[in-house]
Amino acid sequence: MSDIVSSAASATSPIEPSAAVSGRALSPGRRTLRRFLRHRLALFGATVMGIMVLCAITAPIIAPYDPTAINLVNISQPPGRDHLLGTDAVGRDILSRALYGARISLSVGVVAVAIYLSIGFILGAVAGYTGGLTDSAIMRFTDVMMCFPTFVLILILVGIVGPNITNIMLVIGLFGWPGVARLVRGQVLQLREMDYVLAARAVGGSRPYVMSRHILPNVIGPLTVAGSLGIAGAILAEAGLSFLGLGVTQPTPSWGAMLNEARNPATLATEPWLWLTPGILISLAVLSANFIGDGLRDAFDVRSKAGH
Amino acid sequence: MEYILRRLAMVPFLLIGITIITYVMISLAPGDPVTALINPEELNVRSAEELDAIREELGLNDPIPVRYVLWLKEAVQGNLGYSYQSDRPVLDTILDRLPETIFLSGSSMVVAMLVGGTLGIISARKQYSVLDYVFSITAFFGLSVPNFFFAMIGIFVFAVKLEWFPVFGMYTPGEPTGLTLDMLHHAVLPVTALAVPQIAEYMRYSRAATLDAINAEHVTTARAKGLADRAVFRRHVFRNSLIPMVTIVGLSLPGVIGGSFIIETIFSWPGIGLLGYTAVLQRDYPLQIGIALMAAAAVLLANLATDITYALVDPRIRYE
Repeated sequence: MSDIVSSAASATSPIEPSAAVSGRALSPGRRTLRRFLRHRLALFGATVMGIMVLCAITAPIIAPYDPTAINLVNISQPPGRDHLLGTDAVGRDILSRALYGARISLSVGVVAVAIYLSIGFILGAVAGYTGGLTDSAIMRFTDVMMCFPTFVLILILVGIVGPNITNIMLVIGLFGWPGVARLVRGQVLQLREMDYVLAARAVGGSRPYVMSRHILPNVIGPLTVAGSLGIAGAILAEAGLSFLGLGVTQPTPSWGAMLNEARNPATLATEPWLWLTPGILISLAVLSANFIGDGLRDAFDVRSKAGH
Repeated sequence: MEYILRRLAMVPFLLIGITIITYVMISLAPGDPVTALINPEELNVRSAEELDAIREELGLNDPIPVRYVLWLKEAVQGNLGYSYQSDRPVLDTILDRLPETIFLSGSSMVVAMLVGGTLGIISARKQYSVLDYVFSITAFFGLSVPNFFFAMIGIFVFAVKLEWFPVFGMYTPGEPTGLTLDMLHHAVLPVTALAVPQIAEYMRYSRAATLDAINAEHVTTARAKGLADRAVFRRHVFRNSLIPMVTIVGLSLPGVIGGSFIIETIFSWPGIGLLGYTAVLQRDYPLQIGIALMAAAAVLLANLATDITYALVDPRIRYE
């Protein structure tokens, strides 16, 4: 399969080439600039994400209006003094909706990724650790799942079980694991042969004990990287679903749902403030999660461990 | 050769796996499987007793694994059931829309490969330059900004404000259909929106591949013997840097298919993405399942083609 390739693709940072040793001489100034910049990106991501999380938590306090309060006197107002970012077609305050929307979008991202990291870790660890037929069965299942375009599966299953926040989290969580399973299995295959793992098994350590005590701590790094990049993907998936009207439903605000309200060409053309705010927020959140993931990858130096 | 054979041998198993997953989804979907499988025009003239007889005949009273085999027998013969909405066979409905989707997705992939590949090579040749950083960060944006947001910006700026391109649709009403200038004009915005994340992907990949090629020992040798930079690149780097890019074609396909659902919907592009989206909204389960099945098969075949091409162009690849 193309697993060799896909892990290489995901483990290669765009700033750092896969050939770690550059053939070219690098002036100290340039090298500093490079390190500085790389840290800056992760730092930028962490800062933006931190602010967003803070806004999401304190939304009930800092939001100037009730995000679902309909005010028919003030419909479709452009940004102004009363409504800093304007109002939508039924007079709801965009700023308040954006703040509350952060709660939905971010929590869907975190919960969905937590679900699929767990599934992926368990399947990958069991496959790698047990080997043999179990390994083959799990990995072929993974291969099959990887053939399906994830977004299409998510869309169909959400259509079947019905769109609401819980279902969205579960469905995104249900289909995200194959990549994680492969990553974990690759790591476990190497760890399994390490002397300290062999020693732990030799003195009679049970499988759950060895797994949680010796295997898990060693895959935390790659899992954290996969997790933060996964959050970026899950936020995008939720936004895409809600944008199509198959995600978080009215009147609950989510960034994707706010974009959905501005989807028809007339609104899109005449009331750009409706969709610019949520669009920029989604982009910033995903960008930050990607920056953080990239910074973590360098910090953990996943590349040198991730191969098969 | 052995690699290719082993790779081919896996295909039937993966295909069976795909149909099993698909069948599980069918069983999850609400609705009567009898009405889903029978031509709806016949359905109206049948009594309840007759339907029960069909149910027995189709083996729907059998346990799920037996039903799966029966369903598979139909599916292999091209009977994926009938669309709830249009009463037409699912397979025909999908095949009808296939050219529109292949055109849109295919164009976006070609554009992405050319643009992303070129930018990545430039980035690698100017490693650590300001340009390199700008490109790398741009690639991050390309991967992070949702393509529907790109599409909305595109519509707002280029269709509404500048009026360079139409807002949506595939043809101007009244114009002839087919591969016309009018159609190409309609395709510019959706192709671009679909291509953006892929361009970013190709950029990252071709940059890394080019750097790998540049750092190879034979390149150092070529440079040591005094070959001009340009010649070194053309003869020793360029071709090697292209090889890994082959894999992106297969890897990016699931994303392209997912993206086409959103982009075709925004631009009312009458392809399979829009068909699938409508099918989800209308709870047209047979059609949804058919589309998922076809999409998975397409990804499987694309990966197969990718791996085989890769093995052919790079003799160093062997099955692990």
